[in-house]
Amino acid sequence: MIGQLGIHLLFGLAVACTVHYALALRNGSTVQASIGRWLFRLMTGGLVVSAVGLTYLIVTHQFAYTYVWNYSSKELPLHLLIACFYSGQEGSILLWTLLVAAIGSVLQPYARRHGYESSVMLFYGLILSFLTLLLVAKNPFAYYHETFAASGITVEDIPVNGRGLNPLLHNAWITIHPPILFTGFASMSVSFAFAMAGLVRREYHRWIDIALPWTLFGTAVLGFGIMLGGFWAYETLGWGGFWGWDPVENSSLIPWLVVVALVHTMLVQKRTRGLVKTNMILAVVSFVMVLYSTFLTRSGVLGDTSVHSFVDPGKFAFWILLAFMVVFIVIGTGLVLFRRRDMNVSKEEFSPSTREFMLSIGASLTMASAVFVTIGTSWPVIMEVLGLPKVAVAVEFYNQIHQWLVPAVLLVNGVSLVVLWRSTSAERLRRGVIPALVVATCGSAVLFAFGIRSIWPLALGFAAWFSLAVNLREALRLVRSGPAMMGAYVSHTGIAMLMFGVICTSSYSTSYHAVLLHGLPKQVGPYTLTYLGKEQVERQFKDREKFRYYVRIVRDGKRRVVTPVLYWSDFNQRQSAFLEPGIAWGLMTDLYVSPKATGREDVFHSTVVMRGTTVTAPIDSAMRLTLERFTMPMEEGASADGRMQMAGLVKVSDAQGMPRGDLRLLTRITTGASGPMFDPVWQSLPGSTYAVGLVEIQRNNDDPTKSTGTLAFYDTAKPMPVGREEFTVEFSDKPLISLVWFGVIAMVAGFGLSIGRALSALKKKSAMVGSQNAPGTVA
Amino acid sequence: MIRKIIIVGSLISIPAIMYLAMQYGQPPSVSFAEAIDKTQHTSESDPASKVMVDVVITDASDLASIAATDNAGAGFSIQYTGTAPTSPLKTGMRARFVGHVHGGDTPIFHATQVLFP
Repeated sequence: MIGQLGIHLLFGLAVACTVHYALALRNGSTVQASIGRWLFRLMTGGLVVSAVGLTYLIVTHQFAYTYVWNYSSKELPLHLLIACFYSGQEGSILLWTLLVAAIGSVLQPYARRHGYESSVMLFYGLILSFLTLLLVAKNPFAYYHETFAASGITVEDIPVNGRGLNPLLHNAWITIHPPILFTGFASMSVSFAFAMAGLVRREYHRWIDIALPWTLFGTAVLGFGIMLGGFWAYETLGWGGFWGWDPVENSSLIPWLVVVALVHTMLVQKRTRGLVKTNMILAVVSFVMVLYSTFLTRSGVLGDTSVHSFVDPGKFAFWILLAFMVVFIVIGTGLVLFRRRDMNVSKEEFSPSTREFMLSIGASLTMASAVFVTIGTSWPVIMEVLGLPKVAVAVEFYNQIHQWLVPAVLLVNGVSLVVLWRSTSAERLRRGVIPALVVATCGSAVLFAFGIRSIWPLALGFAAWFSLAVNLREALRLVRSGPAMMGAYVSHTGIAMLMFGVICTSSYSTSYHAVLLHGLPKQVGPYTLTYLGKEQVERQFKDREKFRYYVRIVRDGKRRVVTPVLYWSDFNQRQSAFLEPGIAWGLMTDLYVSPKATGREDVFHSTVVMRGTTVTAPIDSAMRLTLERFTMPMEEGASADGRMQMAGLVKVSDAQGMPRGDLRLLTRITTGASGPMFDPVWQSLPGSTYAVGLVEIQRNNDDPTKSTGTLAFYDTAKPMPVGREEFTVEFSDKPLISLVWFGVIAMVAGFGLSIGRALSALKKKSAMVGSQNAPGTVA
Repeated sequence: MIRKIIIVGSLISIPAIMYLAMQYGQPPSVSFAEAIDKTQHTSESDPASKVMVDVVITDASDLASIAATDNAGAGFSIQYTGTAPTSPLKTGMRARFVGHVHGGDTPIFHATQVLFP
């Protein structure tokens, strides 16, 4: 009850904070600003208490709360229990709100120092008002008995254990990836709030300097969070890639692409005082795209068009999400339109041979990517509105677009660093571009020599070499000026490295399907794989029997052992397998073993027979078997241990057609996770030492009379053969995939350097401006 | 100049992208047998790909188990879990269901959308 009331109180505090900052802005009142400040601190404190409270409820297994029951269980270790905090919609909204407030706690004194407190915190408070309203709708402190009151659940009915965390999330990455991603989302609010403040105050240039470090921070953190998700997918999901263009992935990529464009256009404005309206619009769009992406992935509108699950949040939350988005679109576009004439401060045209022109083109290409990904991600919704089949676009849609866009962005990036601000001589352009073109041509020739023949990887390779050559040259030139100057070049070098990783992995990776028999080495391409055995792990979970499979990989005498995991769980009613790949990490190549299936080696003599047909027995060419029909389960009744039974009625004859006897081959059927399993009742085959059993029935759904049965035979004079355990895998090598991860690290490091540089420049500028924007200024 | 480039680029690229999305965002129209085949060729850990099946409804008294016959004449059961159909489903009606097959001994078609051709 306290928790639920607390959430309502937080909403009230957020609204009151917004109102006080609005009054402070209108009246220039320091008292109102001071009240707003304290209300903000109180709300932030309240959010911290709520978060600590929810974590406490989860860790102490308070299943009287629906959220705790729904996402946690007693078996989970502490780090996963903490991760349960944000595993559901309610908790993740609380995390997002908490992080917005936490960033606000740093932003508030920062904005105050620059004289922007009320105008920035007004919009920031409004964002928090909507977030806390969402929390009211999706309250993580709802009681179990309240949620299921309609089902007759009472206060006394407290579950003894929770439903548990989705097994796919049982991974260390869940403790890192969502908080980083939400920090990125939360920091998108800052650029928006500054842009709105700039519009309100008619300061169309100054906000750029002040907001730039925050925008860089948001871009770095969101970018890092996105690629951590990719790394998680690569390491855990077992499909071998790190990016699948899934709506959930796209929903974080779209705002990132917009904010990348914004960072570059902010730099243009900083230098040239141009692109004023563009920056306002991009700041609005970057935040609105966070809201739109949230709406797409949390409102349930995408339904079952993704591998991620989208829970319908309920009508109230749906409308709040929609209102959240619409309100900020209206505020953002409204203010931009209202001030549009005022903002026409520079009508200067950029010459094509200038850095501002090339950066604008680069930002346009990045925005084009954002728009196209938005169209693709929204496609199921567009189709539903048009009354057409609601289906997500195929991955090839995104790949086709980006095989044009990414090389273009890399080429523009390279040229933008060669040209100068304002004007560039043809001589400088030549001196800058020609060596990079030579490097790119030679680099592409190397790729060609190493077997890349497709045009698009070659084009991407050419562009990546070009960008890398220019960025490295510029970075080396600036080494003496200190690392702070190198931020952009380090980031761009990281992106070029990432692209090389993508090219190498997609062009040189070889994949093999292999069925491994226990203890038997198998040659798979240039590698020898041996399935060594399995070990049950995580026995504390009762919903699964989880096994770790040991596979040895040998090449040129070098041995590696990987441990993929494959299991079925009650969590998804055993409808599909949970699997984790085994990866032998390497700087040059990863060896990736993705488990596919387990089973037993077929060691019997067997034959397939269809109803009404006659086959020769595989153990005696003079013996014929005719399948008359299959009996139905109701004819046979259940077996002694309760299993369903069917039988194949078989006539045995010799080569001349003389009957030898009739058999009723019973088989007991268990419906397993991977389909029906058959346990035959073995019967002696007349006139031989062999036994025969019906080991499988393959039903033909189109024509049941064409259903087939598999008959297996073994010699009863010998011990019954036992097949070895089989482990089916998809084995692949991933050359230079490490470049992807190192590229991301370099990109984030570059952003870090740029933030330092932007803050230092701002400090110098503020010192020069002096007391004009001293603390205590209300606006 | 940049404005012109962006306007011309948008005028050309956005319709092109919409066309491309149409090509890649359309589920294949298949028979029930082909839908089963698609499910069987999907990895155990992946969701079955979505398809459209044109049917004649033979019994729609229960949306959780609609009896239908596809164009190839095969009878099968449809479990419908989408939003309420825009017009009530009736026996003899032609409809297009979007969804995928759940395998097993007796496969059923799990539909999440129904359209009326």
